[in-house]
Parts: sequence; structure tokens; C-alpha cells
Amino acid sequence: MTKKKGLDSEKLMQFFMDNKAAIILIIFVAVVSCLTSDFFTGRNISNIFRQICASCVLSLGFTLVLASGAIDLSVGYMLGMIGIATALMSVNGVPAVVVILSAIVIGGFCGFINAFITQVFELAPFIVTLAMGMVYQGINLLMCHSKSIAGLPDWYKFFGNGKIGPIPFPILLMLVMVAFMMVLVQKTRFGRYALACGGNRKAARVCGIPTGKIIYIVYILTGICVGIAALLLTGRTASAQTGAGAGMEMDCVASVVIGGTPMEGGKVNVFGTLIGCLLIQVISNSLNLLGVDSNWQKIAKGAVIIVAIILDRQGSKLLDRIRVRKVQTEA
Amino acid sequence: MQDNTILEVKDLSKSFLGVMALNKVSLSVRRGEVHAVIGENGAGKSTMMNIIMGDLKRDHGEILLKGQPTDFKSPADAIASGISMIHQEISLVPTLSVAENIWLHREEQFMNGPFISGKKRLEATRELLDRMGININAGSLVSELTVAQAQLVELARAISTNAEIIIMDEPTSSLSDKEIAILFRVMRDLREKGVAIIFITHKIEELLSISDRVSVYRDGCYIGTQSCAETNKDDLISMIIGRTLTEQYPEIHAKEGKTVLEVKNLSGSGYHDISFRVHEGEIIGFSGLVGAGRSEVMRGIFGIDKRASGEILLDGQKVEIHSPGDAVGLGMAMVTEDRRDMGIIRTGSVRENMSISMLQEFTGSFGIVNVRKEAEAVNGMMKELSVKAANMNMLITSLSGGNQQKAILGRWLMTKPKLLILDEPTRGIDVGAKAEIYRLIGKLAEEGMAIILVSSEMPEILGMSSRVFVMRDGDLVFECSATEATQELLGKHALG
Repeated sequence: MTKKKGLDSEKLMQFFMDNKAAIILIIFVAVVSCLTSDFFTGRNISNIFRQICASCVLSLGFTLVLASGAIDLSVGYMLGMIGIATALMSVNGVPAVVVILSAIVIGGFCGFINAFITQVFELAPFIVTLAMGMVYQGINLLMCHSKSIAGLPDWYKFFGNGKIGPIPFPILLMLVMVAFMMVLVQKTRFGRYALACGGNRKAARVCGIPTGKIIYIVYILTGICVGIAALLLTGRTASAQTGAGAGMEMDCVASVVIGGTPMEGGKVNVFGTLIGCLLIQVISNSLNLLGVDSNWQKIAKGAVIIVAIILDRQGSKLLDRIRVRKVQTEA
Repeated sequence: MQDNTILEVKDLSKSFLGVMALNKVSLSVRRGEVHAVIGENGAGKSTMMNIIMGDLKRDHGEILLKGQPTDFKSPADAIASGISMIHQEISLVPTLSVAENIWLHREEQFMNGPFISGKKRLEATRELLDRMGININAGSLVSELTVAQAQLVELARAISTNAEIIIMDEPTSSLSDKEIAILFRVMRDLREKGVAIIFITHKIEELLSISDRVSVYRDGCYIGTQSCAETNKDDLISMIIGRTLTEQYPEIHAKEGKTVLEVKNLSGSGYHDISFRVHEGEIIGFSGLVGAGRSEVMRGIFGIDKRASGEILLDGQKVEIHSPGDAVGLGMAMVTEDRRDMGIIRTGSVRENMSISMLQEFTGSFGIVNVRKEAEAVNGMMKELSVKAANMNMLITSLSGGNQQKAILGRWLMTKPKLLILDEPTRGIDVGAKAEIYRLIGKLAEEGMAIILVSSEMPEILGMSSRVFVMRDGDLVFECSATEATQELLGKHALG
């Protein structure tokens, strides 16, 4: 009898841990929708989803990089640079296909550079990618002479506002990317290898995993996500802003960690990243609706991140205790 | 003799979430004795020590220090009362020097006004190390030391507190004979001075050679205390495991086949000009002191570290091995010395850890892992090696050391290697699990696998190998067959 109860409490706790971001989100939404009737309107919900598309795709790449035990702090400025570059190309009449491919290729190439520098010189990715972010920012400002680029062609705006049937294109693209990343990281051999690198790079190498190659692929895939995110963000604002992307890496850290992928790597929750992005956007959005000062919104965001990681740590401890008890009662 | 007792543990009980870890255990330690504490992993030794040190709270029972009941709230209290402990895992700060580590948090005696006098501290450290007969530079950073040297620094730190009771938790597990000799000498000195030493170990020969009395624990219960002069190895083993274990090492009837591995003039950092062959069905024992270059050679062969020169031939063919990936591809496998650092993937489950080297076998279209196939294979391997886990999706870190090691062994056996390198495969593992691993190694050799066994435990080398090599200072200095090998012969060549 007690054995069965122990089993249930383990599963229940595991469910809470895997979905804590979603649970916080539901509670938050429940409270907000009691306070204001403006929240649950079709328009507002659709807005929230459209606003998270770019940051969510960016965070997907970030999820992979964190799970592999590395970090990429250059993603924000990389996004800004790719936005300006592709906007420049498109206003100068370069065909859509070429521009879209360049976004992906530039992103992949930047990721490759990040991996190359960290791998060849055996440097800490934290400082390398931080410095590379500054480089990307500089290139960005040089390219556009510190001016925003407007007058994007319609195909480009489709990335921000287009619809396929009733569903906005960016949301569709985001969901496809989430599904793709879920399969890639959680189901494939590559995903297993990347997580093994995150858990213990040395041991993974001894197991015969080509860890160097895996890290290159991880950074390149992250760069590709940045490229796609750049198209989404630039398409939505209908112009490439010089300051676009700045600081987005911090939002990435927040949504990925809230979603349940730890900074230390080795574990992953791709769907959690989507929920994490949603949670952060819902906080901003609902506080807006309630007429709260935007400076307070920042404080609220920070507080939610802290709460999420406290829950993560305490929850893991509790889960371990439940597991230990279960094993001992079985033994 | 009653007043000679310095520490007495009476009817101590502790349960974790309803499960008894300690059930009314006792321990009585006298001044000026080395008191060994032995038992399989999970017998409750560490729990008892952690309670004595104030790291854990007890449920019931008494701890009497010099006849006074005590209840330490933290290890700092225990240290202040004259009990200090050397942990199994090194707990030094790698970025600080030897001297800084030894006196960390106890710098009062070196104060020059508000500043610490580094000079005074260095002098005190040198004096301490000289007294112990340890040849380590007091100014070196701990990160520059070998594991064995760091262990000796820990010992120095424990002694520098002038403790009356020193608890040593498996201090010899990463020491070679040379450092063990230093350790034992220091222990004897301390005993002369009336210090009580509680010596936790897995190695029975070692225990018998140094200890005065031994207390045995099994499954959280106190089994008994024996005087070391009046007991022997077999008696102790049957006390520890609760049954008589006639022969720890299996009889191996392997037929030697063709050469699997041939190493020619291999050189690299820490070893020079190493040449040897391993045949099918053969267990090659690599003996020598810690730091003699045995692990370095193996890491070089397996592609973990770079080699400077030399050739490796597998099945008579010259092969290029630049990474462990290459070695695995060629049918080699290696259980590394340091399980935590280079063995297990802490964040992964037992299943993920065991299948990782053979994942391509279970990968279908689009690179997607077939979890069902994977689970079947892992389950089969777990049964074969009797890996004890509630289920294969448990975190690997939730298993005991012996079971983790069996899981790592299983990881490699899944790749069906023709050559298996085992670097200290039984370090820190209890007697029961050891015997199982030995049986398994024997079985693999009988099936024709070529095996290299690197070990610092002489009986293990003598009990398992069909041929023995001895390394000293990076050179291969001696080779003999199992029948010729004796502890004295190998020891003589290892020390030079």
C-alpha cells in the first residue's frame, strides 16, 4: 500500500518538476484574468504569441547550447547584425530565397566562428562569445552607418505578419522549430551525445563520442536559430533597427532556465523553453494591461526567474528524497 | 583499562526517511590505538563517522568523548574538541598553496597585526612536513600535486590540528606502496603519542598490518570487535560479508590465442619507449607505484592523451589512434581510473550511461534512437552483470560505487571489444562487488578477450594476471609470468 503511494508521489513530483513553468504560467494567467477582462481576448492572446516568436526561436538555439554544457552570449548582437544584413540585401533587390538562405548561412557561420575560437584555443565560451557579441554589434553599426533600414519588401514582412490559413506564419514557424528541436535534442543520437557533453565532456570523449565535432554542430545549429529569429524579428517590426537583439541573450537565459534546462548542462526541456518565453511575455503583457510602470515589470521578471530556479533546486531535492525512500522500501 | 577509552559510541541509531542506516551500533576507541573500521559499502561506516563529526544528527544513542556525552552541531565543533577527519575525497582548495591549505581558517598563530605572515606559515608547514617525512614543497599549489601527494597534505592538515582522535576514511585508496609506507609511519608515530586513530578501509591485509583492533559493521549493524593479533583475513571476510568466501579470485582457464595488441616503442608525457604485446584470452597485469606512468601509457594507447612517438598494432595491423573515438571504432574499450571525472555522466540515467558507446546500434532513420531496443539491450547487460538499480531510468549517481563501476563495465561490454583496458577497476569498491568484478574479468578472458589490468593492489595483480609487467619512473622495467610473480619480486622492481 505504502509502496504504491510512493510511486505515485514520485510521478506527481516529476510531473510538477517537468512542468513547473507551465504551472506558474497557469496560476499567473488565472490571477490576471480575474483582475482584468482585457487579457483573455483573442487579439491579446494572438499578440502575445506573435511577440514571443523571435525570442522563442532564439531561445531554442540557446537551449541546445546550454544543454551541451556551453553558452553563447553573442546571440543577441548576432541577431541584430543578421537583421541589418538581410534588410540591406532585400531593399537592394536581392531575391527572397537568397536573403533567407543568407540569414541561415551567416548565422551558421557565426556559430562556427564561436565554436572554432573556443575549441582551437581551448577558451571559455563565456568570454569568447561575449567578445564576439561586441564584434557583431560593431559590424552591425558599420553596415548600416548607425541608421535603421526601412522599406522592406512584402515577402520579408510576411515573416512578421503573414498568415497561412487562419494561423499567423511566424507562430507556425516557431511551433515547427519547437517540434524539430524537441525531436533533435530529446530523441536523436546527436541529442544524446550533446547532453552527454553537457553532463561530463571528458567522460563523453572517453566513451568515443567526437565531442569536438558535437560542439561545432551545436554552435552552428544555434547560429541557424539566430538567423531564423532575425528574420522573424525584423519582419515583425517591418524595419531593421540598429538596437534590435541587444540584451536578448539575457531573456534567453531567463526563459531557458525557467523552462527547466539548467545552466550547468546535461539536462534539457525544449518544450519548457517555449513555456518560459510565454511566461515572460505574459508577465510584461498583463502588467501592461494592469497599467503597471514598466520599471516594476523588470522587477517582476527578475523575481519570477529567482522563484523558478528556487523551485527547481528545492523540487529536485524533494524528488531525490522520494526516490531514495522508494528504492529503500523496495529493497 | 576503562579510563583509557577516549571515544565511545553507544547504541547509535539513525534512519533516513524511515530506513535504518544505523541500528544500535557501538564503537569504543582507546588512546594510542589504531582502530580499524571495516564493512561493505552501505554498512553504515560513513554515516557513523558523519554523526560523530556533527555532520549528521543522530536519532538515538550516545557519544561519549573522554566519558562526557557530546553532541556536536557541526564539524567545526568536533575539530575544536580534538577530533579531525581525513575525507576520502580530497577537500583541498586547488588554487591555494600547500601551506595555505594546511592552515586555512587557523591563521591566528601567523598574524602580524592584521596581516598573515606568509613566511612564518611556510616555515611552520616545512617543519610539519619534515617531521612527517613528506617531501613536498610547502609553497606549491595544490593543483600541481598528484592525487597521492594531496592525500598526504590532507594528512598533514589533520595532524596540524593536534587532534586527539583522527578519523581516516579510506586514506590509502589512491596511494601507492611508497606513500602508504609514509602514512603508516606517521600513524605509528601518532599512536606512540597517544593519539587514537579510526582507520576506515576496504583492504584487509593493510588493516591487519597496522591496526590494533578492528570493528566490523554490516547492513547498519555492529558485528563485533576483534584484536588484530587474534584474527585473520578469512575470519574478517566472513564477518564482513556474513558468509565464508573461500577464494576471492576466480580460477581462470583461458586459452592464449593470437596477438591482439602490440605496442612498439611508445613514448609520451610520463613514459618512454614502452613495448609489449597482449594476446587473446590473456590478462596482463600492470604493476608499479602511483605515478610510475601506467595510467599514462593506457591513456596514450586509448587516444585520451597525445603520444609523442611509437606504433600501435592491432591484430597485426598498424593503427592510427588520435582520440578515444578512434580506439572505440577499432574494438578497444577502457574503464578509466577516475570514475567521477572520466567515467560516469552524472546527469544521465543508468540506461543513458550504459548505451552511450553503442548508441549507433540502436539508432534508426533520421538518427532517432530506438528507446525500446536500447532498453532491451541495457536490461540484458544489467542482468548479466547483476547491476543493482531500482530501474534503468534512475540517475547513475543514485547507485552505489560498485554498481556504478559495473554499469561502466557494462557500457564497454556492450561494444563487444576485443581489447579491454581496466585502470584500477576495483578502487573504492566493497569486497562483494570486487569478487563479482573479478569473476567477470575471468569469464571475459576465458571467452577470448585480451585484457590489460592496471592496479596498485598487489594481491589483485597476482590473483588475476597471466603475465605481469612492472613500470617504474615511466619505464617498463620487468616482465614475468604469473607463476614466477611474487609480492616481493614485483615490489623490488617497482621500487628499483
